[in-house]
Amino acid sequence: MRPVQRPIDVKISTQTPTQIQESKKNLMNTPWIARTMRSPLFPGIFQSILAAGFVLIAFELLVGPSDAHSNFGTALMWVLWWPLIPIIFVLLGRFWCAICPFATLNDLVQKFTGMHLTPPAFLKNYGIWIIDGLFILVTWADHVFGIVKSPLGSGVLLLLLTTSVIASGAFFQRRTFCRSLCPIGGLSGNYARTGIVTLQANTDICLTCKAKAVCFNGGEIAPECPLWQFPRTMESGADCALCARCIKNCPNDAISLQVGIPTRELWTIRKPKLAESFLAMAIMGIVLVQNLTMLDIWQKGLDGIEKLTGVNNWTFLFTTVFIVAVAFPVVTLIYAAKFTANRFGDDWRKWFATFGYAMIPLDIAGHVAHNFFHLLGEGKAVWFTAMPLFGQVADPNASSALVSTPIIQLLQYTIMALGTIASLYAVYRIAKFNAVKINHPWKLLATPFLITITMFMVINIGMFSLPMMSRM
Amino acid sequence: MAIHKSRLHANVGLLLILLIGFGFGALLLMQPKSIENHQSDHGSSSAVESMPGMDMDAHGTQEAGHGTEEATQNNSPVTLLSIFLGINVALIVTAVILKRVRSKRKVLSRESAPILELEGGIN
Repeated sequence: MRPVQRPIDVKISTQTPTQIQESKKNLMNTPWIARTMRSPLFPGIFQSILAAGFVLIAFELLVGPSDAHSNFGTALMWVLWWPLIPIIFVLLGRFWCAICPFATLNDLVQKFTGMHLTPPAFLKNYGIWIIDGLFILVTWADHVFGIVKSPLGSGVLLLLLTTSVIASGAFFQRRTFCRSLCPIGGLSGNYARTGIVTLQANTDICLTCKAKAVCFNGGEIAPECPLWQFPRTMESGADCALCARCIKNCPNDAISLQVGIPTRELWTIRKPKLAESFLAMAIMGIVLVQNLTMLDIWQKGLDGIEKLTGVNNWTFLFTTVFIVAVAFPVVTLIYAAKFTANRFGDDWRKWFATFGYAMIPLDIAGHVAHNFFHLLGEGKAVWFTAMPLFGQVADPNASSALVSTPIIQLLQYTIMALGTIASLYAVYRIAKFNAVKINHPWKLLATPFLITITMFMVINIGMFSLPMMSRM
Repeated sequence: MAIHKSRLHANVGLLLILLIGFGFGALLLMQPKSIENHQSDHGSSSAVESMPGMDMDAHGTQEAGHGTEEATQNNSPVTLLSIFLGINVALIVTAVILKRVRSKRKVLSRESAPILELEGGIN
């Protein structure tokens, strides 16, 4: 067997896993957190609250006011939940997946009627690509069918997801839908890599464990890991929902919740995946489209294309622009990767997959900055649309903004600056690690990717500096 | 009865994909649109201009969604819910039936196993 070569400047830790675990901030050392994670009510109590919220949203969307402007379900879903979700991913990793109402539904259906079949191999092998496709499809459908602007459209989206979840729960094992089909699951997986809280097993203890992988297979205390993760070999927080089932099942208390440096995982990924890097770049394109369609120049641009080509089919025009916008970041990274491959050797796909993860912080920044507009610029809509449910009437001329535009823009620029710094730093760390292997200065390796990040930062900031249309 | 396991998986997977496709098809049929509707859906340029401070613009948003409303009002939520409920119940019933078939097959194979061993022993 060939010995594993380590880069010269990589410091090999002489600490044991136990020492490493003790050196970091372990949240399980905090009594109330440990009690909460081991409690049989966790995460059930959160699941119940969110399931009730989900029923309310679905009810409002399907039978509430047909105008998005006055629908409480639309406000809760698109003004409150959607803008908050990327922030939750950054702070708590994939915890949303543990308390998501769809996951609860999956578990319920599975419990009573589940066939527990092994998921088909294609779902396992191509799941991330399916997620990539579905995420792009849902975003496209939002614009073409007006899902956000139509409560019934949003309701149908929820019903579709519900049906898929029921199908998955009825036939397949664990949470097949969440792992291989859910667009939000894919998004959360990518964003969770920047998460602050990660679950980690103490391999010193695990090696001596005689409990027959009870953390993976489930035991008397809690069911199996819903996302097929084995804590002992788990390298990433991307597929861990922090549901605490393994913590409850572990007879040795070997599993800890570590608070680490955000984004650290991005430059420590051992097996980068092309599909995950593709999703990172596609999200960048999707955020660009979302921003673009809210700008004044969007309609002018469409009118211009219409005049130029003579095509007046909106769906066709939008689809063309959408494809170009989503493909733009992907193609840019392909060029950067090909340039690197030509100069330093290796397959371009390797460089695409390796450096694509560095774009995730910028992705999140663009996404959060875009959503700041909805959350802070339209936040009061949640209250205004809730008022009629309690017999109150909202002032039709009242502003739905929680804060003024300059403050929103300041926050957007700040978050973009933070995301850019994190992405640039991730490129630096990835380049430094790989430069040793290929025996070249890291600056040469990093340059195409640093340029890519800077370019997308400038485009995003340019868009945020323009006035945007309100959704509510 | 003798459905090969991997074939069953493939079929179930296909069913899942078809369901998702069916849903998007339903969405597509539900909301036939012209370019005018889309323009109103995504707001007019005047709506943007009249939004200093990105405040809620009743005018723009009231216009927006008109096309969608007209198209969606033809489909009552009750009909939609019935369709989705029907699909979901069908899925659950299928899963229950297949589960029973599988468990029966397991019982049968367990019952036949000692006989085979015995036959093997005699031979």
